[in-house]
Amino acid sequence: MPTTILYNETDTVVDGAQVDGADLWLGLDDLARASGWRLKPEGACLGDVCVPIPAARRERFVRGESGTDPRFNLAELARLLEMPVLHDDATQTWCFVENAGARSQRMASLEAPDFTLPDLTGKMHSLTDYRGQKIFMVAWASW
Amino acid sequence: MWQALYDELHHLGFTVITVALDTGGADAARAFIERAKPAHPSLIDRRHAVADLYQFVNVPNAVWIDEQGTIVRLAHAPAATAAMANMIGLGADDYLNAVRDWAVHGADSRFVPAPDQRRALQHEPDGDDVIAALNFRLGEYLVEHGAAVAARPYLDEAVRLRPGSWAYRRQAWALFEPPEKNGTLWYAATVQHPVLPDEPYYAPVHLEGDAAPIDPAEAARKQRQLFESTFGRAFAKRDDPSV
Repeated sequence: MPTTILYNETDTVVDGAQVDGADLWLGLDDLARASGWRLKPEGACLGDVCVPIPAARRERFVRGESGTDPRFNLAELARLLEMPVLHDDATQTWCFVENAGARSQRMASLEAPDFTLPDLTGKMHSLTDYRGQKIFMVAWASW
Repeated sequence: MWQALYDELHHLGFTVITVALDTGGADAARAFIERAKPAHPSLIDRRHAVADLYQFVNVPNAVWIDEQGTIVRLAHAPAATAAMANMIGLGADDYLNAVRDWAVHGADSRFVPAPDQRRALQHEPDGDDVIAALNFRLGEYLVEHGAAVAARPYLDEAVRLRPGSWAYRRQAWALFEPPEKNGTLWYAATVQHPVLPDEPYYAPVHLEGDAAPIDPAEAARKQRQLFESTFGRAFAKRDDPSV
């Protein structure tokens, strides 16, 4: 069964993920595709920000490094970063979201977070498309 | 209703963006949008992503964002009608007049609080809120991909962890309960056996220059009375629907 990874706003389906209880071992290309994280000499890097892999327990994060199919445990990185993780075993769906501290920091800036959503015709709109106007944004629902 | 505001104020560099927080997606929202025929962007948010980003907990909830992309009024219930204004503790046109004032005066409007005041009013997400969001994200994905049965425990958990989110609660009802039951469930949760007895359904809105803000528990009581007089006959059931 393929594995679905919901990482913040991104949904990715990967084949060949190695799931072992609370561990999610991904090939390095799948890791980057699903989460943006890349394994480099400095550690796990997201853009310019790198997190060193704790040397004493590197094997919890990386395996098969010198072989043909190196793997990285995204779930262990999430635990290191105190990122909430949830997985549904029946559907092999994993979900990762920003923790409260990261949210708080983001919200304190008072910057309106960008997003991209469709209208009824399917055309996509980003908040930043409307930069330069005063925006009154209101949520409603059919329920 | 927001179309009229858009028409009135658009020439001042003001726009309205409506967002349907609706896991049912375009199908659920279509009839309403087509009837309104809005000239402004009218978007569909199946994941409640905007609710999560902006801390919306019910509908309608709104934010004001300035030309530089800064939030100038955080999540609150907006009032386009006298009934809604009454619920949030304002006079009939007070809220719309505040929006008009902002549209005209921008950052100089007295209805734009200073940044520190905005921060002071911000809802700080706690651990439970985040786990609720985690569960909602996973549950919603499963619903969207045809796994509603697998989804249900996650959506129920989101409601359990964040009882203050009427959006989670009402969305779960819309997905999993028969439509004819939604009204009685709502009435039970708001009036008969309030899930949050001291919290108002819509937090009161305080406009600068008003007398002191209304006490939330008082607003809760007042809103319950209003719901009882308006909806009691339609939704109250002799048998306890929560059993």
